[in-house]
Amino acid sequence: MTLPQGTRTRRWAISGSTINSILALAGFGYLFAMLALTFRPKRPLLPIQWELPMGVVGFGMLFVGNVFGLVLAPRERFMGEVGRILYVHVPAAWLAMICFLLAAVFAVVFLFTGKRTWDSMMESACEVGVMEGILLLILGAIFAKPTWGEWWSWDPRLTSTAVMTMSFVGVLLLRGIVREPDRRATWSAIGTILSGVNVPIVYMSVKWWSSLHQVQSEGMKGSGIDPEMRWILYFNTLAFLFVTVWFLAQRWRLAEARALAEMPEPLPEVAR
Amino acid sequence: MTTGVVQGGWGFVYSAYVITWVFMIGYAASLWMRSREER
Repeated sequence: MTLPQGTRTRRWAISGSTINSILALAGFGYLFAMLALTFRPKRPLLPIQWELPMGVVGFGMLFVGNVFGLVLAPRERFMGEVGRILYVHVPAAWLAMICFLLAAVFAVVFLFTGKRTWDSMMESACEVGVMEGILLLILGAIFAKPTWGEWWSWDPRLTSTAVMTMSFVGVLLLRGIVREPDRRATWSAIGTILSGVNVPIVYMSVKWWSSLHQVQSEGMKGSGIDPEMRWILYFNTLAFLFVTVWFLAQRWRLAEARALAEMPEPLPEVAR
Repeated sequence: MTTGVVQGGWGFVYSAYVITWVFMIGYAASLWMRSREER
């Protein structure tokens, strides 16, 4: 992703990467502090909705980031104005894969520990990941039409992404069908782990097979994106991340409440 | 004359951004409504 020759770049008092670093430090610091408080051993869960400030800040940043993408960002060298779709398509892709990976990790932890809360977290990550995966596929089609001339191609990246998203849809459908809580949790954990295998396949698909889709812009060997575009992309990614954290925590609370409601009534105390 | 650069395409750009917001706000609303039902 590069700029046309001769593009004049703006000079700001604070660079975009500095802004992103400050926001990332503040956001991750807050998130880790809240997670540490929530999962303290021998203490109850933090009752307040700690994720709400992240959601509010995330939506605010998403609005600002989208304005940056539409107005501030320069035209891409070959894709022109259509390159602005990058600032929503790539964050959706990254966050969808992160959610699916998290779901697989939570599934493994659940199978080892048997604790209901990990099943709730897995359910939350699956659902949020599916939402972002479907958004990713739609945005990808919108990006593909003006650049490749077609809405869809059975390209390795696109096909593997569709398979990944649909496999997690299958996990959610499985959870809807199986009524018995323990069986539902175990079967969907196994399904989630098997579906999670798709994530590295999707990520590496552009390298392993010849693909219309461009190779990873952000890799181990550095970035292939111009700095003027990169900081806006990272800003939007942080916004997506904060909103996704809010979604995950809210959906987890919902899953926990439903799991509690499903638990059998405690036996009455017998008078001695 | 072809320049090798995609021309126009603002309709696609606006559609992408609108759909993103529809998904985000729609899912947030869905979570809020389901939380209310659970309470």
